[in-house]
Amino acid sequence: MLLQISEPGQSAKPHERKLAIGIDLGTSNSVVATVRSGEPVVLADEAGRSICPSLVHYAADGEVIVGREASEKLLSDPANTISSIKRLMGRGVEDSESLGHSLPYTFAEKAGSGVPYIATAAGEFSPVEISSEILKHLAALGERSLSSGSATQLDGAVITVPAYFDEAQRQATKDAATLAGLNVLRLLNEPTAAAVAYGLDQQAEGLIAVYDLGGGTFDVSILRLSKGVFEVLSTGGDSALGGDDFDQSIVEWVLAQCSHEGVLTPIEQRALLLKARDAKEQLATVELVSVDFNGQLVELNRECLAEILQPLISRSIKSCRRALRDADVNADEVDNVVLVGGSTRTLAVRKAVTDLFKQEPLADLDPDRVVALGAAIQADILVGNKPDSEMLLLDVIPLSLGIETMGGLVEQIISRNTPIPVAKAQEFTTFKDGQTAMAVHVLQGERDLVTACRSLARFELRGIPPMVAGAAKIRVVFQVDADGLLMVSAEELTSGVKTSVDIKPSYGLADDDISRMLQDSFSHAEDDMRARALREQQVEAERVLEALVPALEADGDLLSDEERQAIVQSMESLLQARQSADNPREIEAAIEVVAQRTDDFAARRMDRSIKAALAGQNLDDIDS
Amino acid sequence: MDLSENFFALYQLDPGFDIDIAALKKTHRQLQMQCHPDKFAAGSAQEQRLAVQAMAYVNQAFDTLSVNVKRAEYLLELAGLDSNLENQTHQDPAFLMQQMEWREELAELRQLIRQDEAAADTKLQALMSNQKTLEKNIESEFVALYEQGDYKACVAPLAKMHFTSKFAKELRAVEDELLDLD
Repeated sequence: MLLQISEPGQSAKPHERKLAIGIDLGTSNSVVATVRSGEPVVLADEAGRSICPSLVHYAADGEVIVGREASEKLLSDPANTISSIKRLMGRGVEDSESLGHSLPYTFAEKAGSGVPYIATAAGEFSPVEISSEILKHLAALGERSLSSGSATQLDGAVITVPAYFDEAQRQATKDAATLAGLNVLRLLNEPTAAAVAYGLDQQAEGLIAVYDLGGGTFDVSILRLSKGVFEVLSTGGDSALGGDDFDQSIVEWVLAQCSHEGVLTPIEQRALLLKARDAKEQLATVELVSVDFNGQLVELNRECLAEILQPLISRSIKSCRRALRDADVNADEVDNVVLVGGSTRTLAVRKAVTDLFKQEPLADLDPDRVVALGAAIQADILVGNKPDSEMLLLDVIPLSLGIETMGGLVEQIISRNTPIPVAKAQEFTTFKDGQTAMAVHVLQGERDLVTACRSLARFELRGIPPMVAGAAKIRVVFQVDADGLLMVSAEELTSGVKTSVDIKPSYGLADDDISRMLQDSFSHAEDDMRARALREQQVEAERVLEALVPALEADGDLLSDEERQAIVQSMESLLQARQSADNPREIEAAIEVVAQRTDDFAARRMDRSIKAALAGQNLDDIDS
Repeated sequence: MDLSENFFALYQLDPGFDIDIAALKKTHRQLQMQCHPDKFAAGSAQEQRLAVQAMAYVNQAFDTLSVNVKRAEYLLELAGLDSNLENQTHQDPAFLMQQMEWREELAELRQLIRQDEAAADTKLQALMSNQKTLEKNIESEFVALYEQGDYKACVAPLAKMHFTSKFAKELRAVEDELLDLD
């Protein structure tokens, strides 16, 4: 029989610990963590620093510097030192102009892509590419600190995103991870990650509100914790509200005090922003600071800071009230309030949160590290290191998903705070005789007007069999997976023909762009990419075989002899391909054959396991 | 995935309008534990895809069973009624009058918000309570006809349920406005 899958000393043994990391990819700072001896820990670099500034510097010679070292270039070379790139993820050129009022970069749009590329000395880069540099840096840090002498390869990573990120922003983050060569186990919402870290640390149960104010994004999530299940009831926020805006407000206030007119140079601007941030941070511990602008000293105290920030903070509080209402709970029913994100160190923020929930919020875990810790805990479970774990995270879609209808209106398909994964079907018909294609414009947001929502993508359905107008019945399924990513499939019901779906993301990179970027990133060593693709397929082949062998043992009775024979045959071919093929496509094809032959089997197994679980529950009922 | 059995069977409930919500929730948690893609994250791409589909199906089933008007509609679908039938049904004139009256009240309420918040709130509470009473009555009407097996006649109360639930949503939107949340 073929049960021997691992060659000695070559691939992972079933019980070998897999290497997984959690990455908090923040606007200002990023952190990487892992689970070591059952405890989540933040990983530090050789100099003992665990917080990596989310900065990328591009030099004219093509050298890329990430993190602390890049911060030295912030003032000397601001145009080539990219900060807060997270704010541009999944955004369009016009957004980058409005968001980028404080950013000293030159934007360039590549023909028709809608994606804002930033012009640097080393060339033009998209936000996805720039983020992938940060991810590569963190993954390398993770690999170095996890390796015990020999070379280490990560098995997977959980990457956190703001809960309020829309689909385009999530897709951009996943693309960045793909480009960085990471196997993404899950995109995890930041407040959910924080709740996991707190929930496990403090054995909290009941209702939790997570208030997460980072450098550029604000999130609030209301969760119910019960026996290891973290159920998000609602989420809200603002994906363009954070400490950066605090700093900008302080800058504007300082300029007003100095009656400064005219435009600042990029260097002046950066310098003043840094001073504003400094002043803000100092005021968490002292009563009064002074800010120096071109020799003029401006005094700033806590009350005055609170006043400057009030409009921004009250926006966040309104989001909290909205989230509470969506969860159908009152502020006083919340058992614990958790503060996350560096900007929650600002005293005025703490006071506003305390006033709303009428209790002192928890800040025992470092607000800069708690998200990475939670991500590491989930990564450890998802990669398969804790098969008996009862933990389960149930999250929701943060913004309603809809399609454009007549007159520039949006028809909601999936409403916000619906648990994911979710799938909704919608029927369409043709309006012209012989029509073989149609376009579906998908948007995200709460408003009725197309112009007031964010455009995600246009899906073109092709291959509709020609019929008279109105005769075709096209069933389009919108599926949102556990990462909050959208997939659209379509079928013409009267003929049963699957129509192909071409995606044109409004602000994202097309698949072609991603593969081109992947290729570019390996241009120095062309074989690298093939080697990586081969390795990826080998790992997937192992995963398929490792899952199937015990499945056949446990549930082989669900198969007829012919079915079983066909499956085993395809497994043998796959094993053969895994051992000897040097073309990744060959392995991929063999996997595809196995997948086809086991589709029904897998479905029957899942059905059986559900029935067994439900039967078990009924026995419990009799016992109790 | 062969979850083609009906939602009630999936949740081991007898088909009907009145269901045991606690049991529904308990079974739902079990199903989530079984199907969630996180439980298959270390598995093959095929397993992950199936899990996403299964979980989406289960979530849809839960949503359908837990919302009164959706559950009622689903019951008629199981009884073999065309879902378009509703659009062809003529509503009784009394109910049409009721709808128009409520529409007017809603418009007045929206005006009132700008003039007198306290009065608007009182009016809103009254409308909400009326809405709930009427909803209960219509649901009883539906249950009575459903239990007699007169599924065709159930279409009329179902259409009314659609109206009252939509009206409840609009009242909630007004409440959002009063709470300064919109």
